[in-house]
Amino acid sequence: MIGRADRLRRGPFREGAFTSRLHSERLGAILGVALGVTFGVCFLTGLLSHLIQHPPGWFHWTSRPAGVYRVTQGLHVATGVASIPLLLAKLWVVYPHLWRWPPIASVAHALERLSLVPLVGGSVFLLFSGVASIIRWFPWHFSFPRAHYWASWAAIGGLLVHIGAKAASTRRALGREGAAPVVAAAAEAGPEGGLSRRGFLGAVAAAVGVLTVATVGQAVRPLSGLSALAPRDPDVGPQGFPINRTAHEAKVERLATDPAYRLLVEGRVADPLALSMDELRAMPMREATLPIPCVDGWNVSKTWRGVPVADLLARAGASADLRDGVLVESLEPKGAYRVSMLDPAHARDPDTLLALEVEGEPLALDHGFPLRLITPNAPGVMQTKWVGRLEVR
Amino acid sequence: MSQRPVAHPRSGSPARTVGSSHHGTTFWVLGLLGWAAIAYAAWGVVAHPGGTDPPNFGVWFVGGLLVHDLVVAPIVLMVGVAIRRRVRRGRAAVQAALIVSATLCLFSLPVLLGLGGLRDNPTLLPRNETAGLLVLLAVVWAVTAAGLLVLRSRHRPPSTRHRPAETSGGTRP
Repeated sequence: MIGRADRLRRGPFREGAFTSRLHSERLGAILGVALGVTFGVCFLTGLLSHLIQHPPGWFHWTSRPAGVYRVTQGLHVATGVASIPLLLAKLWVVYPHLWRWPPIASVAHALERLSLVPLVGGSVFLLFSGVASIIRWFPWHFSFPRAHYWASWAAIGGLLVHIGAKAASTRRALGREGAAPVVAAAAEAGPEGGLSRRGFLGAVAAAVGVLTVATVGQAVRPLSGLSALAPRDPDVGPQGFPINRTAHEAKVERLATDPAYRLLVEGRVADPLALSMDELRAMPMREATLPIPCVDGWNVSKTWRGVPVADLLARAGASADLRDGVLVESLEPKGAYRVSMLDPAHARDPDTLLALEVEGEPLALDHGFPLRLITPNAPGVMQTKWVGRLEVR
Repeated sequence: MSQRPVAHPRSGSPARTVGSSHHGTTFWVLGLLGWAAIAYAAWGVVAHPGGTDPPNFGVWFVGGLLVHDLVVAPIVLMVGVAIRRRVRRGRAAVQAALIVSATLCLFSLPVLLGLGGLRDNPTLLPRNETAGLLVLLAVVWAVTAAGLLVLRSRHRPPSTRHRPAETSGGTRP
């Protein structure tokens, strides 16, 4: 029986089919640990972003300190990008294992190998869809945030199974300097003049470093001049910063520039308001320097001037507890982000503004004229533009 | 964990090491947690078809895996074989520079192909990506070449082949 089975052992299944000394257990272990760290960071920061945007009842995101989300989301995208060379290197190093013989040795081994489908499939899916989404390329039919979210559970589950299966051998491989290569034949190959294992790791680290410098400038402004491959330049756009959704795309040009525009403050309030722009300008204004941190990983910090949401709510006679938050609605006729919810802590924060001005100028139409919500610590997609209505829930 | 000092499965002997005796508490606890998360993911995709479009999700999920394992990895392996056959001098440097270059090219490929971007939003992809990529590649290869020259001049091997290795300046700085 064994003889017959072994006759199937052809092509890449053959012993010694992969000869490079770089298919080494130790390299696989080092790259695996590095990916464990970057995927862990990606998963946690991504989960946080998901909870902030779709909060279950038990979750309340803090409005202070300002700019935490800018750091976590910048980290999410940057570690995801940095994972690309790490993942490709790791998969190349362990590639001979894909063709191991016999393919399955036991039930536990089968489960372990099966978990590589969600792990590798999920990893490739997450990195590919993440990179595609930050350049706004959507070649699929699903909703990017939904699919990216569920795929992350598959990948992190696969990662846990994999860590459980490989913890011992990883520890062993890391503990021994220069552990034996995966393919025994490689040891006999001797010096081949190519990259050493240390050189290979160095090259992968260089790839991570160069790719990071080439992209991270969209989040870390001093590096923006070096980031030739970043999808955004934080200094390029109307009034000197980027936009995610233009007024034209949102189809709000007519509504937002209508002289009959009124801001409505409604819901559980004693005196519903309908304020004209002149009435809004007559209210006490407040200035705050706060970031817009985009889910796509770029951010800009600007000085905004506007009416605190808390003042508007007080003027309308809303009850002070704001128990169920405040709904902020855009003039956009449709779109996934035309409304956002302000958690009570965010609605009460004095720096949560309906901004009329940025850097001393009236807001450009593309930045949300006449009014844009600005909050100390929320994703850009929740800093609703072209605000037309507040509803106290 | 009960772990026997057995040979690694590479050694050609049928994979004894992956038998159940190899697996301790860590394996089963993390395995259970991991499969629970995978099951949650599968449920999430199937239970929210409006957002996830399960058939399309499946195509992209499995497709990425297959494209990597059956297309990308074999191409990289073939390039590796070609380099081993063709590049004699400075092979390590060429391999290192290719690793960095391939990463940059892969990342910028969608933009270079004109995918992505928004017609009415000039703040997305405002740069000339082609020029940026070419400059980056030029820097990578220039640094590699410079590094190679420095190493060569520092470790210029004496013109003899039969001298013992330890007198030829070593292989590392």
